Amino acid sequence: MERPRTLPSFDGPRSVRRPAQNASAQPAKRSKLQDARHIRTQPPSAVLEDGRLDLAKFLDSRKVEIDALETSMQKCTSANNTRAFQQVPRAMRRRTASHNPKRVPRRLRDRARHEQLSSNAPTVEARKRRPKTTRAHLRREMAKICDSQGDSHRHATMTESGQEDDPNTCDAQGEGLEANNSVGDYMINKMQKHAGPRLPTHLWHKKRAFIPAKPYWGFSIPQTPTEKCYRATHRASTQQGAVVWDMTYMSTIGLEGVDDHIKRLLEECVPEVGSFGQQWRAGKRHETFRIHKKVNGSWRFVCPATMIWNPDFRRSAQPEKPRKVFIRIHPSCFEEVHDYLLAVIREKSLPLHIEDLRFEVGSIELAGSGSTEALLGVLQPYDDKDGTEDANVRIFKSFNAFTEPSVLHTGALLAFGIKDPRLAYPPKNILASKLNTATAVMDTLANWAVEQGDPKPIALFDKDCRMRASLHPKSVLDPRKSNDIAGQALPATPHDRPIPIMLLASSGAVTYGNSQAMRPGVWTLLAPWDCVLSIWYSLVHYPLSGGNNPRFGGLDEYRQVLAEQQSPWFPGDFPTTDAGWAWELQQRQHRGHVWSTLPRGKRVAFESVRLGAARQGEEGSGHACDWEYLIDLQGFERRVLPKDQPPIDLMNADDFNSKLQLKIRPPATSTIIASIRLVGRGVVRECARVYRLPDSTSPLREQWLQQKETKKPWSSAQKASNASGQTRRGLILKSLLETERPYPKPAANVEDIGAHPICPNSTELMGFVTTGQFNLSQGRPTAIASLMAIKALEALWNNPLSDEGKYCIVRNVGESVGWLARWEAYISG
Amino acid sequence: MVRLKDRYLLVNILYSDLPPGHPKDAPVPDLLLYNQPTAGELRPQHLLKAIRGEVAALFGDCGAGAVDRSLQVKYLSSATSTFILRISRAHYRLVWAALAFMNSLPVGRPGRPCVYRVVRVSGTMRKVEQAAIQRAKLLMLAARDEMAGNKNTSALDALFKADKVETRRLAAPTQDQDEPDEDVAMDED
Repeated sequence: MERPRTLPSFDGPRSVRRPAQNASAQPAKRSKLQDARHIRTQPPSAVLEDGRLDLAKFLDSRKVEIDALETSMQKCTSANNTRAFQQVPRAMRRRTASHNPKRVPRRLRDRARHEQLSSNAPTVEARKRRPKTTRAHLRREMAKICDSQGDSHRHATMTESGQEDDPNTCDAQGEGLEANNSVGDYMINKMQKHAGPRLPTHLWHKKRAFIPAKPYWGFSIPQTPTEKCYRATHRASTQQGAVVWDMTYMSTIGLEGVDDHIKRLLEECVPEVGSFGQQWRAGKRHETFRIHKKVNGSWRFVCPATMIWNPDFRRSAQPEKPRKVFIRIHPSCFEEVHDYLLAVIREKSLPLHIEDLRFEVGSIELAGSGSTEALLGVLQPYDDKDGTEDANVRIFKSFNAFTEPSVLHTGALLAFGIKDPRLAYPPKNILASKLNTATAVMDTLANWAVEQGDPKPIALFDKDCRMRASLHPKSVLDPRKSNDIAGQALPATPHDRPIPIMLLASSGAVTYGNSQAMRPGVWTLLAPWDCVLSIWYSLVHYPLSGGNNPRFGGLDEYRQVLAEQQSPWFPGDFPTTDAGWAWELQQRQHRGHVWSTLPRGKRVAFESVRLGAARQGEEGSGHACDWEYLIDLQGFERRVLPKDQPPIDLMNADDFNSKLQLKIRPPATSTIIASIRLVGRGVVRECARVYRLPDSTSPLREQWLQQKETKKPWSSAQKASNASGQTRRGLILKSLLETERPYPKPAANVEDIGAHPICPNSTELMGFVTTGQFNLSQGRPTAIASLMAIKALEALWNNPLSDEGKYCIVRNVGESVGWLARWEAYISG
Repeated sequence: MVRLKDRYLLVNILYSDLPPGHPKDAPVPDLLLYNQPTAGELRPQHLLKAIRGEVAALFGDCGAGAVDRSLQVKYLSSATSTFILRISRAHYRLVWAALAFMNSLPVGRPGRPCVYRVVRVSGTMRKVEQAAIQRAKLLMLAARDEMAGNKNTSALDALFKADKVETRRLAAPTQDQDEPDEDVAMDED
């Protein structure tokens, strides 16, 4: 009997395994599938007892048959329902995998091909499609003609440049392609869905992340990756791996002027500018400080900023030569800061030049233990000779993969030129090559050669260098690659200009109360806008030594990483600033909108929230951190403020401590930022209400404090476990006689709120939570909140001896139940 | 591509006499008599060979060629004397007829005389399996009744009634558009 010539059949025989029809298919994998279709059977001897028919055995045999049939049915359902591309982990799935078997991992390709044929999926490959109708044929011909006409406009001609240039300065006269960085180019089409200017990596992110249509702070910023990555981000940023963010939306302001004038400008912005050191002024380190505005003689906090001076070696010869400074701030307050600086410049008639470099300098941030490794693997210094004079390059090359940014001194800064990362694409793992020893790294860190001697000027500050660094288009690079040896990096020719970059290391130390925690630091890589994308590709394709590539993150992941370090995020956790207040107003609107789109049965009815003790209705607006409500509660007259000005002010940590000690009452609208850690159960989210513990006159206080730990009635007997048996018995008897009846004590509020302590009154309302989540680093829920300074101080004053003033109760908006927590004032970090 | 449609036949093997190793004098309840296991040497290949041979004998080369390609044994249980055949929709009646003409097991010389009774025809394997499960459950209930000593086995009645109901259903064809031939239940009786 000849073999029927059919496609490999999945409906293999059930009681017997046949060899696969298609000899080329892997028989081992097929048999797995056939197992699903194999129904177990019993031999007939199991039904006969000594050759006799038996009722009991008959019964059993039917039972076995039913089981076997049902199992086989179940297995078949699952085996039949899944397609090959559904067996692929979510991160590796590609959209067109259903009709393009090449997009599926190799082991599943045969199966995918078969499924494609047996289902209704189109099997034509677009590029191999031959036109069938006359019309289609004509269209194809026309398209070819138009294409060839376009080619002649595309390539720029390159001229030879004979000079060897120092990659870190731009005195060279090499020719490069002209870059056009005008802002207009980034608003390509008014009809685009994303109205904001795009980041350089926009298209890459668009395929992998959700980008909201309404731009944040003027930019289309990815909100979160499409796949679920909460835990993966946590692991990559704290344990093993790396996370990268495209932070090109962070604004850069360039200042140019003489040292003295810049110093006078800064005195108007930063109260403590005098305390920053000489190294920073010389341009060897970067510093992060808070910009303030002088309003009616007092300081008002605007935003945190990072400032970098350009070291100019000619300075020693000409001290009055103007220098450049970069100020990096969050885009939400760019206009505010820019206008304020301009106003100060005009007011004091300082001969300073202020520049908007938002679309010229881009940045990438990296976090996680693999971040240094990724940078070492991707950034190839242009000046690659071993005995190079550039201290920055020497230091960078002396790092090893385990040098974390937190290990470096604060404000560590490296600036050098790199080769186009596309020349060495795909990036190779650096651990394959020789690694620097730990002692060598220690030497580097101890000496930090950059700070010895006069540093060279940083090329990134020079507009010419930024412009000239624009890269060759792919069509120029590809022929070079195809002509060269496969697998090797392309050598850099004089036509390949060095890309000026800056690496900033942030230690990420966060200070709260009496404690300071060292967190894993963050690398910030500054580069010209046009070069960010090619660096990005190499970074996200770099093979980390622990496996995987660096993960990318969106805004949510950035906030998550900061929240896990319990570091407040600007602007969201600073509602006292204009930018933070604008964020809060926007979030209110967003929450209100989302709430209104839900049907009435599925949304929280804030007016009927029961808070226990016959109180009904949410405190303040349910969509908001209702500061206006809180201020009204205190009986303080609200000043009539313009709509975009926050009703609250930020109090300095030093100020808070001094008022605490001297017992001075702060102004009623001052707030502090606090970190909150829950003691037991519960999770707090944004807008949660924070209450103090009620004072000792109320029995509620004890109920709440009991949430901490419960003491067992015979713990004294346990402590006396070393005592003799008689003593122990005596102790046990004593505890039995002394426990209150009824035992166990019935919890309070059983009818009211389900045996949970009820929330304190509105007089104890301290503030609101601005960021809250379950903190995977801490293993307990944490939050960052803004608290009224007066309430916080009162809580501390009323409990001078114990730490009970630091306890608070946090209740999510719309919920009845509060959770016990501890708060700590945030100082810095 | 046009869908290839099949029919699945659920077939019972019935014996009218006691199994060879059984002592002659012991009384055997009817339930066990008509649901005997089959001798262990029966393999799907034997069945296939027998059916193909029968079809060839009845319908000649044309019939044999039509049936040969798509005939498969999907399930064979010697313990319960049940098997499930798959055959293409166009030619299932040839196989059914061949089964009607077969009167002995294909193994052994001579093979034990038996009757092949088609209990269920369906367009999907799932429905046939479900029918097999249902019958097995009813038989289990009947066996339990028997063990309890209850002579009026309602389970067996239920089994026969179910068969009769299906026959009545055949008389009035269903209006099902999607899979009109899917669950055509037929009974030989």
